[in-house]
Amino acid sequence: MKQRLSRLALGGYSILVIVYLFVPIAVMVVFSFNKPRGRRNYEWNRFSLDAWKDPFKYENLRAAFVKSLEVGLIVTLVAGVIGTVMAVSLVKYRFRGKGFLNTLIVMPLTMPEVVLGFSLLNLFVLVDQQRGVLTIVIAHVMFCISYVATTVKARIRGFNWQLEEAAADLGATPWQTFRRVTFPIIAPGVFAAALLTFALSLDDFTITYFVSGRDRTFPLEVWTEKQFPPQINVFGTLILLAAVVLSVAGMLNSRRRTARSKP
Amino acid sequence: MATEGKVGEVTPRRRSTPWLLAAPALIWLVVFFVIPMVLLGRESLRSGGIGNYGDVFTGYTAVFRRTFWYALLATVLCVLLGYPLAYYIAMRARRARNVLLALVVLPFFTTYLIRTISWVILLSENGPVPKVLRSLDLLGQSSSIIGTTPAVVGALAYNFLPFMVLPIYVSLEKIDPKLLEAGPDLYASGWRTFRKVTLPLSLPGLFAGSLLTFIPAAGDFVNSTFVGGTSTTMIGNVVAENFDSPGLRPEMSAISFVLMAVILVGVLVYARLLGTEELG
Amino acid sequence: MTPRISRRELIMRAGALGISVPALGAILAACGGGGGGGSSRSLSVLNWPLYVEDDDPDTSPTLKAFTKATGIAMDYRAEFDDNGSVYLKYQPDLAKGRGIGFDIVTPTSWMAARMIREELVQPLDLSRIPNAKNIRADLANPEWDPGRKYSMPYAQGQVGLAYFPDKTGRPLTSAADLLDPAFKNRVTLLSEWRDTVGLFVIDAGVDPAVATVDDVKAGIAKIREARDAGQFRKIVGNSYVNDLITGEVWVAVGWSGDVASLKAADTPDIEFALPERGAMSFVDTMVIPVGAANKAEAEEFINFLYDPAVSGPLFEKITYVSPVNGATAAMSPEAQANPFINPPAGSKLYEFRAFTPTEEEELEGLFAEATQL
Repeated sequence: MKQRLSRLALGGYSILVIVYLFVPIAVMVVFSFNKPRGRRNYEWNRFSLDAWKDPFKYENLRAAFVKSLEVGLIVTLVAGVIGTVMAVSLVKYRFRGKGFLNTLIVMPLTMPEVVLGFSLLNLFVLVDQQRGVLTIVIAHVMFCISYVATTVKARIRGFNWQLEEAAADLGATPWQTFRRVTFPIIAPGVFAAALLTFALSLDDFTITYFVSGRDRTFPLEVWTEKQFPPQINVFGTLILLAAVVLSVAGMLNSRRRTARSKP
Repeated sequence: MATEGKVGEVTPRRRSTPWLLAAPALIWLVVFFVIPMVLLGRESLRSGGIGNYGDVFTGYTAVFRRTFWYALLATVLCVLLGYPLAYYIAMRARRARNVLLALVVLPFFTTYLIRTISWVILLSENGPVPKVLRSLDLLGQSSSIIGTTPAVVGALAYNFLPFMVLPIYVSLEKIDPKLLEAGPDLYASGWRTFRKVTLPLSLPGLFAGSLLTFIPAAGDFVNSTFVGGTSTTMIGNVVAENFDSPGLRPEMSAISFVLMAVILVGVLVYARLLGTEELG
Repeated sequence: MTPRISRRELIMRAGALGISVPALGAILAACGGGGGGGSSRSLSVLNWPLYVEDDDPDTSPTLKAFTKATGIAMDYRAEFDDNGSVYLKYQPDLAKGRGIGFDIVTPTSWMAARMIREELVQPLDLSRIPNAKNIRADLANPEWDPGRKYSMPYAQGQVGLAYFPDKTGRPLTSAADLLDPAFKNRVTLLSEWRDTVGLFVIDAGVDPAVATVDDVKAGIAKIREARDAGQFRKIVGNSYVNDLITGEVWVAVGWSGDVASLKAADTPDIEFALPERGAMSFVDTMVIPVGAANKAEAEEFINFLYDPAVSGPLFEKITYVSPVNGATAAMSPEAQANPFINPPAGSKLYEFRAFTPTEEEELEGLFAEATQL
């Protein structure tokens, strides 16, 4: 009985936290239906579907959003791979210089973004590197490595490396070992890191401002858009819907797969 | 303390293996982080030399203290909110797991600015929250929420919650359920099992989550700008505001290095305390 | 696509705009050969938001008229958000002599002064800007750019007190009202120190154009004192507008154009007062950065803007003060009476003198200390 109560309490608490996470999101969705009196969507004026009827009215917002998605996907891929591989190295092996590497991956997190952005800009100017999508990706990967490595390390810690040896003893190649033994175990960590990286890249403003040249990502558009049209809220809501649909589909899909694999 | 098997590190068969694996990330960081930092270091010594660093300690101690205090409060708040949630998702919600994780991260696919402004809309004078609190007599007529420490800390915690939840989740999810079943079998209470088995096993995740919350929070300036006031300035505000003046830039660069150093020391201490062998 | 216009057409239209034939010859030559209709010409402008109708070259009557008259396609970006961040972002390139992709940028006068001093901008070919003679006398010869060799003003505005009379209970008339304890924690100041401290310097009876460093320090000291007492809710940049809309703040040091737009839509009951002793004015100024690809087109645009017939309607729409003589005459009677657009004669508007880099550094540091620590 006590167990059930504590389970209910935990469940209730968790739901509350999730609700709390969504409070500003709810505000955002609600305000997508607002028709602000002036240029700024800060106060409820009256209900209107105008923004929904014309979500792509601001072409610059749409283009910026697409650009953010492109950058986000590339960054997630690159940072995901090199960060994971670094994390494996740091947790699995005993070697000199490990402490230095462990500290190094944390250091970018400690620097204020304006400093990171400006310093990177200086480097690009020094070597005459034109600013654009490439430099944005470079910058994002740079600070995302820290997030990926830290998250994946937490997952790998305590992994029984003898399993890998066993696989090798049974004739598996290193790639097969990785694919069938190591990766399935670290996969949730990698997936979580990928989610965080994508969100971070999509969200970044300050560093992107400095290394972006004339290219505009979604946060740049939103931040410098002195007017906040409800279309921005519409975009946010659409992203949300898309992500919810994707994850529910993913859940149904994995249910199907587990059902199929049950003996 | 039982774990999955042999904890610990492997001596690499070839000395170069760990370095090869770490190489891509290492090179990336050296080229795109270390070198810019060296350039920044030169900047921090311009017009004033090492004295710039001394100035940091005389002029900015109050802001530093406040910044670390806020970041600490926000991190603790994130642990209180995030750990139970991560536990629930990892242990109790097998089927809905991916959806719940997605729900945790989804709010962060909308821009930082939109989220913060939504809080401003809620917490500001014309918004619902002060009205409700005042009608419940929890808030004075002349006081407001925006501009206070709780507002800034609350907003900080809000914005970093997924960074706490996800790492804790991944390390909890890994725990072999049999270990948890062993607890009650040996007559340990639920709480005892948690304290002696679950919590220690989740420490890597807790450590990672705390790092990914505390460190960025310490450098943040957005929350303080929007929901803060004149008495909630964080070191991120100072640097962001003044970095564009060429005259103040050396000092701001010095501040950034001091910030980095203090945080790294704190992280080392924390790693020792938790007993994880994180930093070497 | 820009229409290909014949040389003859170009001369006729140029004549209408007041461009002389020799100047035209120079322009054609600059276009890379005098033969036939011009190659497609373009111009890239980085300006503050709300300085052109709709901020959109496709719908702004002014920008459309320019493109129609000259065949120059406009790439107009209303992304100039803050002097400091724009400087931070583009200075490294400009210092190396590399272009930044913009042909005209519009820093505020003190930033323009710095850019000129640091040789980040190009001298103007005034022979291509005959309309420069229409510049208002009071703007024609700043000490940091005598004879306007590098810069031409785009728009002028005022820094004053934005407030809600029903909250304050009385009209505001002086910078000292910002320090009124009755408004404790309901006041914001601008983080732009010249604008904020300037009001206090004026209030102390000093003309900012001749202020000493000590005069400014005295103003900063007053602010610091009040801040320690909790008088100010925030000391911020552009986002002060949001605090006015959300009701957080009753009184704010603000920019005239912002308040005009607030009054027109978001918060109709807001008022804007210029302190009786005098207010600060700001002038956002066009400069041509180093490495600009379309200098001649930029100069043509500046010339276009200095035609009173163009300036009048433009400034009527954007509700700022035009730097062009005769623009007022080209406005409607309502606009002529609008104090945001045409401050009454005898308004006391001031600007700070140009400070040396050392003075700037000292004052910036003191202001930062007073407002952030």
